[in-house]
Amino acid sequence: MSTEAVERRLYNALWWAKVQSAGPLEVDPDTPAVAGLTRAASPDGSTVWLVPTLPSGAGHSVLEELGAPPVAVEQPNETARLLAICVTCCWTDRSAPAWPGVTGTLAQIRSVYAGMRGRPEQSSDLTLIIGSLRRLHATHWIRWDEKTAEVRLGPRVVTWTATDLSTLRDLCRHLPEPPPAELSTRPEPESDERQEVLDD
Amino acid sequence: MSAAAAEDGPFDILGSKVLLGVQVVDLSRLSTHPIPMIGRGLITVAGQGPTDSNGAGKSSWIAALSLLHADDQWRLTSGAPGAAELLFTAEAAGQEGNWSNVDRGYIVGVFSDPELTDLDEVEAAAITVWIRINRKASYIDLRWKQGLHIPYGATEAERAAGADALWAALPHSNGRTDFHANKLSQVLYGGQVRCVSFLSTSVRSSPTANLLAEPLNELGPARIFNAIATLTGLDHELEQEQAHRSAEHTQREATKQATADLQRWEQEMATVEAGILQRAAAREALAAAKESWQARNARHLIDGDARNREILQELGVLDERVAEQEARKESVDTEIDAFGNEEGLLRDVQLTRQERDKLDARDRELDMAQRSVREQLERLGQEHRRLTEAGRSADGRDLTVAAEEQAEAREILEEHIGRDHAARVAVEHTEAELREAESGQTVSATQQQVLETAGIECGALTDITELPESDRAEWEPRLAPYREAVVIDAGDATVATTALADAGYPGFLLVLANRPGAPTLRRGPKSADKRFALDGFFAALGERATKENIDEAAGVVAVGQFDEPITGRTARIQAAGRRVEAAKAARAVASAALEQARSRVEQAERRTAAAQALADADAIQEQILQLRETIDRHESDRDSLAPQLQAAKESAEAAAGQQLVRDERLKNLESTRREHDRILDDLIGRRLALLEEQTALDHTTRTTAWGGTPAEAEEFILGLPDDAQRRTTADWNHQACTQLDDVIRRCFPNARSREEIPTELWEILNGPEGWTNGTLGDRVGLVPALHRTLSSHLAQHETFDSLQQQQIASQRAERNAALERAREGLDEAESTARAHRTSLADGIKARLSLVSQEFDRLDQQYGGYGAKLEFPEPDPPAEPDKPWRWTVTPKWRRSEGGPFSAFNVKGNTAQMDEKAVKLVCAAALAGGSDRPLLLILDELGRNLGSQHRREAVALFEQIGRDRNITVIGALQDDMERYALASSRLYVKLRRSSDTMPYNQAPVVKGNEDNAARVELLREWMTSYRGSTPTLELASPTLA
Amino acid sequence: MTEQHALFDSLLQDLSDRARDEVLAAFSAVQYAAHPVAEVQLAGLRDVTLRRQVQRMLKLIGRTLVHVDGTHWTAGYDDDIAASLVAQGWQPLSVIDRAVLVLVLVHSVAIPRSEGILTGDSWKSARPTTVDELRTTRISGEERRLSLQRLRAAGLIQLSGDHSSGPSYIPGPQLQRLTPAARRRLQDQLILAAAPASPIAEAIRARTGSPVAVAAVGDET
Repeated sequence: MSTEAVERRLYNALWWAKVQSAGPLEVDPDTPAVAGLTRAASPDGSTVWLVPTLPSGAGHSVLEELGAPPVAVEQPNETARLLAICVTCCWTDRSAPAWPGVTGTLAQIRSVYAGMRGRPEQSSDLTLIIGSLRRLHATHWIRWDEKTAEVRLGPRVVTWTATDLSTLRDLCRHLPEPPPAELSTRPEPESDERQEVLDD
Repeated sequence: MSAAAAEDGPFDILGSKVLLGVQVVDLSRLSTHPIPMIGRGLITVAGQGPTDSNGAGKSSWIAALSLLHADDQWRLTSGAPGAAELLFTAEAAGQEGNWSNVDRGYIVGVFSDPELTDLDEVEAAAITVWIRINRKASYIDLRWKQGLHIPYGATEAERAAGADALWAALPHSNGRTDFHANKLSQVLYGGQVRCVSFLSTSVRSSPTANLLAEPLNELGPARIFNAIATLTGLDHELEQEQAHRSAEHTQREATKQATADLQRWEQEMATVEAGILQRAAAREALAAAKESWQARNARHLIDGDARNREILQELGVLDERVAEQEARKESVDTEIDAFGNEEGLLRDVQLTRQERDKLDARDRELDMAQRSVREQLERLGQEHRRLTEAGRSADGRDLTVAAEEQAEAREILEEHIGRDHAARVAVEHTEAELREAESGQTVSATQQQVLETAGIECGALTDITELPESDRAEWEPRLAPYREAVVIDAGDATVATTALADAGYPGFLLVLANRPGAPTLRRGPKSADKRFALDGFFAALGERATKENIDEAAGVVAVGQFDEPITGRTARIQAAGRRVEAAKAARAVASAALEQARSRVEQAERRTAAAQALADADAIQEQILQLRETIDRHESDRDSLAPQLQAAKESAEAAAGQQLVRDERLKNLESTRREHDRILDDLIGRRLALLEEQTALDHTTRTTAWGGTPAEAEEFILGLPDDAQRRTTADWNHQACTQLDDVIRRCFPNARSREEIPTELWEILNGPEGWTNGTLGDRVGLVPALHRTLSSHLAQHETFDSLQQQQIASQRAERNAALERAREGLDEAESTARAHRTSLADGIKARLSLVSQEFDRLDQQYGGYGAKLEFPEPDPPAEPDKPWRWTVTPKWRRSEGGPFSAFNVKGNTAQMDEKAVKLVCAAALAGGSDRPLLLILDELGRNLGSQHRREAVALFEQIGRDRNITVIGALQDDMERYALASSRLYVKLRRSSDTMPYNQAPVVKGNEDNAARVELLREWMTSYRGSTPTLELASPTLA
Repeated sequence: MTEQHALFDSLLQDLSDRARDEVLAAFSAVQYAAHPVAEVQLAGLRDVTLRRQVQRMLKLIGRTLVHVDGTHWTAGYDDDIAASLVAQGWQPLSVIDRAVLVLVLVHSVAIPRSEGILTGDSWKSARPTTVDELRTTRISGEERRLSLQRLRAAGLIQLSGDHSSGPSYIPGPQLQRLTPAARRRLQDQLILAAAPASPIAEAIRARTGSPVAVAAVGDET
């Protein structure tokens, strides 16, 4: 193997090891490509996320079939529920890819959560919601900003396939519509479109 | 069925049973109608979509069949995630507004023995297999049941609705759960290949190629071998070979591991053993150091003892000398005491000195008094001269006359002061009057300014008018309307009105004076200004007025009663001005007279002072005469004192001489006494030094350190070799320290870092004045402590060291034995694998020869010119974990009698596919077992020319007839005519409109030979309405 | 669904459907399962030819197969890659997380091992570390709680079954991913940290040649 190929392999392996140890990484856009790590440009384009992708037939999805469960997530149902809510709040243009989506708010999430439960919000709900958001943030499924109480989808959603997105679209159709977002910063142009949809 | 499989639970439950009917629920848009199947031969599947053959779900249906037959392409090991894509999806069906995605769907297959014809027998042998497809992992659940157990109902909705309940009624396949995809092949077909398929990319595609899925030339010879091996059952034997190689590899790894372990372990142990050896050497060195230290202590005690004896002797001598010296000192002391008795002499000397001092003091006192009187005289003389000079300005008057003149002048001055004051008051009074007169406002000042600027003489009427006090009550009301008016000469009227109009004062009143022919008034107001005669004006006013009205004719009343006169201001100012001037002139006269009186008083005062000075000068002259007499008296007193003073001085000097002699003698005696003291101090100091040295020898410590008497120490030293006997304590110290350094180096060969050295030892070595940086003296003091800590350190390690040495020895033996065992195991595994591989190679070659023959036969039979396979035997793998890579190269003739050319030589694609189909069939025909096999071809005849299509269809029908092989082929539109004739079963899936979410009932027809059986099976399945009563009765007893 | 994978395709393309499936399944199992998987359970581990492919895939992403107890497999960081990352200063765990983890390892592994209760170089321990034993003035209660949560989620520690004296922890399944060299290194460092003056520590220094300490004395002698 040529020296260049050896260096290339080492470069790839080091980045993969980093991503494996710390989760998807946010790097400078000038960072050279790493084989197998998908690049997801951050919403403002200033950085790029490196997200690992595996051939289909590999990854967490096959573990259940093998009877070898992964490290357990705490409160898996609640956490999955919150991810679905984040998707419905942040993925407004459902004909486009889920990444990067738009910014959603805690108020929206609480509203959808209560709507999904079919009852007014209870005091314990917020604890569950925040706990789940933190878990999802730590695992890079979402980007949860505790200060502004705003949420975006995380870089891992770039790995969703067309089939996944189709299933999610179907799921979103069954969830309550979120109220319009009231962002702490300048609203994004997408919010106008959503307003229209909500008025219908 | 192997023993291992039996332990693992259900295995190969279907065996040689074949699919007799299939039903799907919620898969793609497929309808839920049961579709009968036949056991071998060709089945063609056609579609009738809204526009053409597409869109009717052919591919999905075929894909479901391949999943039911556990086709590897579904990636069963990882759970067959692609299966979820078969599920009905609202979006894909264009129905997202009306329908939701389904979460699960079912493939239900009814299997039974193909030979049975009687329906009851078929049903008795039947097994209904249910595969539940889930949208989320696990994607596949498997259940089955003896007999028929399929969804039923008159309508699509009924059949679909009943499916979940029917599934729930099935027993769990794997204890409490169900088997998943990874067990599908094992459980249903015993892990044997049951299905080879090419599925359209629209449903799913294999990430890898297989024989039917790709043009042959895209596969390598190795992959072709794999495909043939799978079809012929060689794969199981190859797995066996791989298992042998795995075992060999395991042994090889174990050997490698054991060798590496041993090597690494030996390396590590070398250091450890070196450490143990070092510590053993350190223990010996420490023992030697301790012996040196013992000898040192003996020598130290002996030396100390000898020195002690010397000191005791010297102390005796010193004590004698001290006694002698003290006697000498005492005799000097006595002599000095004798001087203390000569007090009489001392008193005479003192008296003489006192007498002289008294006389001397008297003399100095007189001298002082004389000097003081002389100074007084000089001062008085000066005063007398000054007073005489001052007396000259008395102008000859004596003191009495001058005083009288002064009193007279002062009286005159006071009178003039009074007059001047009265004049100043008069001026102030008249000036106040003037200010009062001037304080009234000048009327119409601005308008007057305008007129004066125009060169017109003018004056305010009220200012000019002079009105006697008595007439004020009568005339002031009459003049009131004209308070603002200004008087001008009658000749200036035109010019004045123009000027005022221009300046912006319309309506301003002007009174014209000096009008000719005016009467003269005797009483009443008059003009005070000579320039303006106003008699005419006043007369006119007087004539018009009555008592009440100021203008009777017009009827005008003016209110009177002014506090101040409104007229005559000019006259009043002029009179007051004149009075001020007169008062100021009177004041000037009075001031001059006052100044004159003042100068006269001053002159009188000067004369009085001069007369006084003359009188004082006379008194001073008197004093001077008296003082001169005093001086004379002092002079005579001093002269009489002088002889007495001289005599007193002489006797005082004589007494002082006597005392000096006596002091000298005393000083000599005291010096002698100090000399004696010094010698005595030296002797005592020496004694103290010796005593200190004796204490410092610390006989007790030396004895304790040695642990015996000096005599015993002496004996010990005498027992040493000659050169050792001669060594001094310093020699021994040096040796002991050097030896300890050696011990420390051996104990801690590599490092002096803190962690590695016991804290106590670290402190001794690196503390202040410690071993490392201290002097030899410091080090000697630390020797006992160092002995102790090093001993305990080494003792602590002794057990550990010996334990470790034992462990090392036993481990070394153990590891060598393990390595030996591993090598033996490896040899054995290698030979087993080699032997198996050799026999397997023969088997493989035999089987491939069969395939080759079959390939040739089929090729020639169906339009080819002959074909064969080439399969060189590969070398055994270099490493057991590398594959034993067999290759197969298909070759065929392109023309009658032409040469064989390899498949990957450039040829047309149609030929590739045709040969591929033949090769698959050949492999299937040459297969070892007669187990059923399903070939599935989506888009049957893709890339085949029309001639090849006909041949392919015939070929499939033929292999289905000869062997237990079923071929399912999806048809393109233009192929129906070829297919219908030769296929045993024809299935047409139908959907007439895109608005329908689900298909209509399919058309299913058997050919002439099979029509009856197909109809029978269809009737059997469609008439099913749940479990038979016997089964229902059986269930309660089971529960 | 036919996706290309830039990194693995060259390795996978020569495999048959089934072999590819077995290799990917085995790869996923050793990479992502919480615990080591049994060799007999997966063809991709059982068969050396396939296992070789799994190992080659892992090497591409800086990982390597780790044999556990002779019957199970898992994956860990390749020693060379780990050394490179350490040299680059790569450290995804915070100081507090590392401190808490070390405390658990000292109480559950190092101490039992020094007492002879735990043998071999296993990191499975039955001796739980109680919350009391984790108390230290340097880490606040809240920090410790969050840290334990993170370490648990990462599989570095797990709750022990013994709740007799409140919650207690034992080393998590991730520690079984340590390669033999990494296991040895960690064990040595724990002993050097916990009992630097013990004979065992001395033996370790003698064995490893203690390069750091030698460098430190170099100036003095």
